[in-house]
Amino acid sequence: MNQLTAAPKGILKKIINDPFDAVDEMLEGFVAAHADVVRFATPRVIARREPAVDKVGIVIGGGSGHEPAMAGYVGLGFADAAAAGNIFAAPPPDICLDAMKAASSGKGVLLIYGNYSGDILNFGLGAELAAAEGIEVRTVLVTDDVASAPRAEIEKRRGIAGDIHVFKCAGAMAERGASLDEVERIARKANAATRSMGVALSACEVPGSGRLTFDLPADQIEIGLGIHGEPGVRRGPIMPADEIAAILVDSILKDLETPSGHEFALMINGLGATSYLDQYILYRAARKELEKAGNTVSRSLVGEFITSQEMSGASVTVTILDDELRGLLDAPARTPRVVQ
Amino acid sequence: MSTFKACVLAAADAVEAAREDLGALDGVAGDGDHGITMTIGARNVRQRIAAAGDVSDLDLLRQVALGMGAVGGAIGPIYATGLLRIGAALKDRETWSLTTADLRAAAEAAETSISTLGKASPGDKTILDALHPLVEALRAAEARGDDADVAVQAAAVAARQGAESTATMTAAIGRASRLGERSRGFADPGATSFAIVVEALARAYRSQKTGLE
Repeated sequence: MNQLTAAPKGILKKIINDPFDAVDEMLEGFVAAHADVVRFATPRVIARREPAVDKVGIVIGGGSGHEPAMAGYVGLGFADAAAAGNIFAAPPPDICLDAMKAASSGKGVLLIYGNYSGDILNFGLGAELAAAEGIEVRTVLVTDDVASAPRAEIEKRRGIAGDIHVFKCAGAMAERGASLDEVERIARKANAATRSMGVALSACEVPGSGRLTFDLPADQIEIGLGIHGEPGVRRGPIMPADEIAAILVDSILKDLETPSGHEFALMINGLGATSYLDQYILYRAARKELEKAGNTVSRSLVGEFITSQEMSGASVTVTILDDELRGLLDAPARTPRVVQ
Repeated sequence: MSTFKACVLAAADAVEAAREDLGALDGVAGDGDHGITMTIGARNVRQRIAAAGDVSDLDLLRQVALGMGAVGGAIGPIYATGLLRIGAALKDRETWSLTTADLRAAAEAAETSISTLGKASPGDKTILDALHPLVEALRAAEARGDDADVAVQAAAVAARQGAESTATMTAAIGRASRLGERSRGFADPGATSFAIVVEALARAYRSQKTGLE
């Protein structure tokens, strides 16, 4: 085994084999474990086990390394297919096209993914290829991360855990047999109603890279740091959960038209290495802050929905609910990650 | 084996050998995986070349484009687009003993397509900061009437100098752009790996030409 073929050495302990095989082995394990709900359409496209017919197809996707996202959201009430790239890398156009073909049943396809330039490039090229084959494709970018750009440049914001609420609302709408116009409208409405902000405690490692995705001293946290290690807005000493929640919720509420009078769906998303103990403490603190400001929380999610491998930290996500969005969040779903 | 195939395989080896260094560079303003990404590309390219067997250089180029495109992310479409445009520029060349003018036209086609796709310009701290000087070097070589071999060596030097010059820039697009000033002082990984590719192509080209003499 020479230098060129030796498996690269990482620095964090992981349960993997050759790092270059990590994504494919993960997907094989995933599909086998959830074979009641999903199947491989191609080696990098996970589709519903039973393709839906006569509805708008929902395609999600992006880089791997965020499990259970994105394949965890393929199934009834959510997406029809997910395109998987290499770790933290958007899937190439031909794989995006494969996902669109797997999802299409003649009523058009809606692409929903986080606002990242690599994804826009590759899904965009894939959408052109799909259009050439007669598939009507629309795109909604999720832009919930308030830390990544100011309100005046909201279209530049990254998509983080808010993805899940947007997938759910659009997926439920498509399940009702709604038109492509209506499903797109709902996806845009859910995105516009959603805000998130996170805090990072420690970094992860892309398997085999031999380095952490960012440098953060052991006694420091970074507020607003992105799921690929993109820099946040403030780095400082560790602080109590109540203070972290106050900062996150304050930033989120300041970003809305008004900070009070809303009915919210509240999500705490763990980034992969943060305990449920911490997540529920953060939920309690965030909920108190929202209620103190004159809002109510009617729907809740706590857990790991979109991770960054062994990154520790969490994000707070709120979605403003009305009767329409609440009904869509409550609709039945059966995917590897969500069953209701 | 054609000169082109030998050069491409040499470039694949050079990229993979630089995996750790590229990862370290990418760890400054990115997530540290550029070395792994380029290695995946190199392995894709080797697999496709082996599977293609005895085909024309134009078909080989297409395999390289597809192999690099398959890595996805930001760098995949950039290499795929550039290489496919080079193929389009050279499609009328029966055999690939390329003149300096051929090389210049090919490089220009690649630069235009990459600049358009990535919406970037020289100075943004991207691969273009190595590619643009390479194009300029080929233009100068053509104007001087230099042979292809001389031109190729000059192109490699220009690409490397261009890549090194990115260390003084702050990133204007892509993930690193969110780091602003923090990205200054370190070269762009994409420009650096491109310089490694071009240097390896130039070295292999020279040794192929020398071997034939």
